[in-house]
Amino acid sequence: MKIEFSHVNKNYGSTRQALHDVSFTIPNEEMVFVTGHSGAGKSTLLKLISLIERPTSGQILINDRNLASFKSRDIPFHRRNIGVVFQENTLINEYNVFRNVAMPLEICSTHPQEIKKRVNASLDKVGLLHKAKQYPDKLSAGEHQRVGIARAIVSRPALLLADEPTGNLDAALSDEITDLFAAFNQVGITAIIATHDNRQLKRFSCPVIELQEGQISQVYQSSEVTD
Amino acid sequence: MRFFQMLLRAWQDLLKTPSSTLANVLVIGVALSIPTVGYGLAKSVKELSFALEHKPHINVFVSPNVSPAEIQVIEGELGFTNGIQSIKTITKEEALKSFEAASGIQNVLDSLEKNPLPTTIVITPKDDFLSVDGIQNLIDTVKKIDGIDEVQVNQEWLERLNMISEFTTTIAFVLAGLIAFAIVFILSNTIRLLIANRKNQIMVSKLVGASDSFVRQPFLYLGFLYGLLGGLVAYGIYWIVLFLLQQPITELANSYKTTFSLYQLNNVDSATLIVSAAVLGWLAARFSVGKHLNDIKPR
Repeated sequence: MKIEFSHVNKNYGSTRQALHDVSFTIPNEEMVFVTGHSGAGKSTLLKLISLIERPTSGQILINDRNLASFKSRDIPFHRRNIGVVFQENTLINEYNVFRNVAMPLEICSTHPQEIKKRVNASLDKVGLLHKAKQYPDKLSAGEHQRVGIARAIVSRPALLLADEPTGNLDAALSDEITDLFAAFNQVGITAIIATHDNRQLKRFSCPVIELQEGQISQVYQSSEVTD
Repeated sequence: MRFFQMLLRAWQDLLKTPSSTLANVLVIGVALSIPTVGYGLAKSVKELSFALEHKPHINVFVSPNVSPAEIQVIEGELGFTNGIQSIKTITKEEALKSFEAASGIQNVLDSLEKNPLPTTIVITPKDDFLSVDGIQNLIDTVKKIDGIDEVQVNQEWLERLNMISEFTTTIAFVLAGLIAFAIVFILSNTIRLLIANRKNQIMVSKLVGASDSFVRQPFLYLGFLYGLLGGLVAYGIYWIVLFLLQQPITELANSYKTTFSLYQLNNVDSATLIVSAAVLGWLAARFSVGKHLNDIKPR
């Protein structure tokens, strides 16, 4: 999925400016890190792409289609092409792991057999097939995050958005999770990962967009990062 | 197929919180039973039968130009009419004689060119036709016979009963309206709480691309189910009331030498009650969902 921001501004209310004149292009099948301190505008950027928020001004093109042309009734279909992973746990505690992962498929009334096949494949990829029947309160933090990733990829989206996916995890688990994103990127999924974990940047060679107070302060290759 | 799947899921959801489900269903059921009992009472009054000593007679006035032979034909036709126990014909001559006797005026006919009194046929209805509707049916049937000028019944009691029945029906409908209003509020509040409880679920559903109708649906089914169960409870309460009141009412009626039984809901009544309760629940959910679902981000 190709993503183009041009002169995007986003204000919350009349005072707080979350993004200011942001322009960049992410080519299809690329993996990109977005970094910056908390409050720099990383989450806002991801929310604009998934149409959780609308820009105050400027334009966002996804595969050359202007997001402003999406009416509210088109939004669900747009989101079905995007897998989203958050820092905080967004699993439903009343559902077991299998049903949590199945959610994106259930909403477009996929055949139960197909759901079973794809959920199992997805859980297998994150190494949690054996926990399919467990409930989220029995899972560790790392497992939580992996179930979230399984849910994000189960509908085979063209784009993966991750907002601080390793924020709560120790180094080894963080590596594991980021490697998963890299693996999905290898099979052609565009991935945008918001993180302030510099350690992860150094492990890959991909573009980094650095935000500072809502503006792009620099764009560079992650392999150039030094301490 | 999908309808029953969704209904089953809503049912399972309700069973997860049995005590609050029961409380809600009972509140709705009791509320709905009030207009239902009112409706039943109105219907009962309509079917009220009368004490034998006050049995009404129907007076049928034959047109003046009808010959005695034709009167016999009319009598024959009345004999075949359902609901008539007996008839008694008072010819115009007999009528004149009893008038003379009653008024004390002799030889009235001498001063008149012809007898102005009509031939009258007095009908005694069968017991099971002694109700507002029964008598009215009989009157309608008799009126259609050729050669009949007018049909009269001692209208007063009929009208009075009709009024009581209509009054009770009106009250029942007004109550039904008010209670429907109350139920929409009770249920929409219940649904609002459910929405709040499932905020996380709704949020995630929307994030992974659930359409509004997909998010809305479970709540509509819950409302439908609440209404349906409430309707069934109201139906049950009606039968309990019937059972409890039957004995004392029969005793009371017997003391007035009359028969009176409470109206039993027929299939149409029962279906109307239960279906409208379910629709009411669905509407309440729709109302609540429309109001509260948009509060949850992302939109």
